[in-house]
Amino acid sequence: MAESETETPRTSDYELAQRAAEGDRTAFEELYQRHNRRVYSLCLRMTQNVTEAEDLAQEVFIQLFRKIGSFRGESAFTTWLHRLTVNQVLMHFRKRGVRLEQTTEEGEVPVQIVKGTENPNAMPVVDRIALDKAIGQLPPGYRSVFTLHDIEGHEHEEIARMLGVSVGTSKSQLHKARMKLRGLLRQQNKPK
Amino acid sequence: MSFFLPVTRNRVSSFITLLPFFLVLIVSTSASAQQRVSRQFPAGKNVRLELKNLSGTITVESWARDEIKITATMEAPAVHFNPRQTDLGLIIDIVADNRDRRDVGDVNFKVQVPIRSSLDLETRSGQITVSNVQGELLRAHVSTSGDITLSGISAARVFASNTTGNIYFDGDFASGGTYEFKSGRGTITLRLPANCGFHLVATAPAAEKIKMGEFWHSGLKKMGEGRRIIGDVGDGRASVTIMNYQGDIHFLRR
Amino acid sequence: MNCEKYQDLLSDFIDGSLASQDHHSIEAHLSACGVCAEVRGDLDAIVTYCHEHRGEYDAVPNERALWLRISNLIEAGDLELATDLRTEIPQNAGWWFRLMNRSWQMSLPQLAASMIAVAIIVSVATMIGLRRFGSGGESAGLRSSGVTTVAANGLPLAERYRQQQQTIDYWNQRVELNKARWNPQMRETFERNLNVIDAAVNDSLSHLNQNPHDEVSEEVLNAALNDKVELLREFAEL
Repeated sequence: MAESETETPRTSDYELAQRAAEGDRTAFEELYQRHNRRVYSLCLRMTQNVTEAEDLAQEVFIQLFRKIGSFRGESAFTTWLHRLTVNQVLMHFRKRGVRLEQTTEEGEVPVQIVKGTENPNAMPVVDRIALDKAIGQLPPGYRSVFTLHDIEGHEHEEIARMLGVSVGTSKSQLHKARMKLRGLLRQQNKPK
Repeated sequence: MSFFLPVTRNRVSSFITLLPFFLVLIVSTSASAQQRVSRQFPAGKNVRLELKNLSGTITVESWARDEIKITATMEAPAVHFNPRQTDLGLIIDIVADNRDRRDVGDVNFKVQVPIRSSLDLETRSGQITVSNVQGELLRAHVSTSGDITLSGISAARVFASNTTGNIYFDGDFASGGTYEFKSGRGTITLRLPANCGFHLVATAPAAEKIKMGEFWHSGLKKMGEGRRIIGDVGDGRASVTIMNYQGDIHFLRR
Repeated sequence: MNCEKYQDLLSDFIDGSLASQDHHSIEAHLSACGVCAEVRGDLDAIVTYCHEHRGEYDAVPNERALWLRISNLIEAGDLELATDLRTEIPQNAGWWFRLMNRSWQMSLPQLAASMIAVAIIVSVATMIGLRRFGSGGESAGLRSSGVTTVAANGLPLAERYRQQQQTIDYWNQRVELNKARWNPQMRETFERNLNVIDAAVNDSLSHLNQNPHDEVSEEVLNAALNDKVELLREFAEL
């Protein structure tokens, strides 16, 4: 469902942020109303767990309340909040011992190279449910890069900075994530 | 019939003779149903252990080695047990590792750590016992029922909480340290050296449930018909907050 | 270059980040190799789907309940926002604990001004007090009732209690969904301990009914309600 925040809000996010920083609780609630879905969705996509995503969204807004005075409007509020959210999720991963540069406990997931002339399991038309299910099966490192690049639209340089990995790693993980998703989507289409 | 009686007697006597063997057999069978896993990890510069259990006991004690040794005895052999070493220390999360599973029984942990370790221990139910640890932080949280016993403790921050069960703390308060103890139903006992200095906020359901013992002095203030005691003991440099919904609060001098 | 190498470059090809030489070389290979072209088509479909659906968000399961949780936590931690704290404060710490752990920083002029302000306030209060005492005055209880029944955050106690109750209801629903999965022992332990906290809530409510100005009971009530939310949250994830 598309969020209504782009529909010319009466008051700008910056103004609301300034009012919230001065202690206006209604302004802060308005910011929550406008952005909670964006924050929650990102948390959900990265963790694939409803409870964790809700807890993280809660923590993001608590952090937002604490830091809102430091928002100077140099970047869009959504970009700033987005960074805050990603940092919160990454901190959560680190706390849980998830190493983003390592994709599984065994190490890298090998990319399945497609050879031969025919592949019996054609990939179905991509739909939301199937893709969500497949993303859920990706290791956290792949999932993070895929979410940030393909779903959220970040560049590799930015992702590398956020995740603390090299641009090369970000690119290679994205490719592996896409290939793995392809395999998973094809598997879902497999006649049983 | 005359034939039957001696045989029965023989059977009874053989049964009695064999009883110890049966007992040993039963005990060893039940023991073999459990699985014991033991792992050792090198201790980093800042030793920190975060352990989150579903149910079972957690016993932590310090040892002279610069290593952390975890021994987990699992009731259900299929329990996932994945210790992870991270920048934040060693993390064991039985709850997250076994989410959505029905067959997770008790997991009893015995942990040996270097004395300077910080500990963050949590279980949904079961006892937590920590002895002779002197790290920066000690947090022991039992969501439901389970005693918490902390002895030989010297840490700048201690948080101990449960809903049902006793909390026993035997240690010292560091100047500027923070100490919180909270129980729903159980006795909270603090055994402290006579020269211990702290600022106290202690709350219990009735005045007679807070027993300050030798730490009582007239400078301490009573609030809410004596259900809360506030004030400085000694230099008052550590901050101590105690809340007990239904049980007693005891202070003992070491 | 073989198919393996070409497939390795497919993501960069789709994202348009290949050097033109590589781009042309892969284009030529794709027009000749059906297998690699199929892989490219599949990856393209995934990427295009994501691009087209960018900006669509999932709804929070209970937007209002999440807001209440956030709002309650902010209110509980409000005092600590003004200044940095020397020590880390646990989320459910009481007001006294927070107050005592606050670090105060004042310049000399600020300190002097504060002391003068305190002196003025104390003298004015003493004068008013003496006048009222002299004239028999109005009941002090009436004035203090305004202070104690309105919590520090400005919300009346009943309103805060109602909001906490909504949060509790939300987590309760989550627990109910999962409860069937727990073993009987776990269920029994949970229920028994929830009753312990409920007893503390009821005790403080009955104290507050008898004496609405009872600060200790108000704090115990807040702590018990927070503990209840915490217990429900902890069991909602099982």
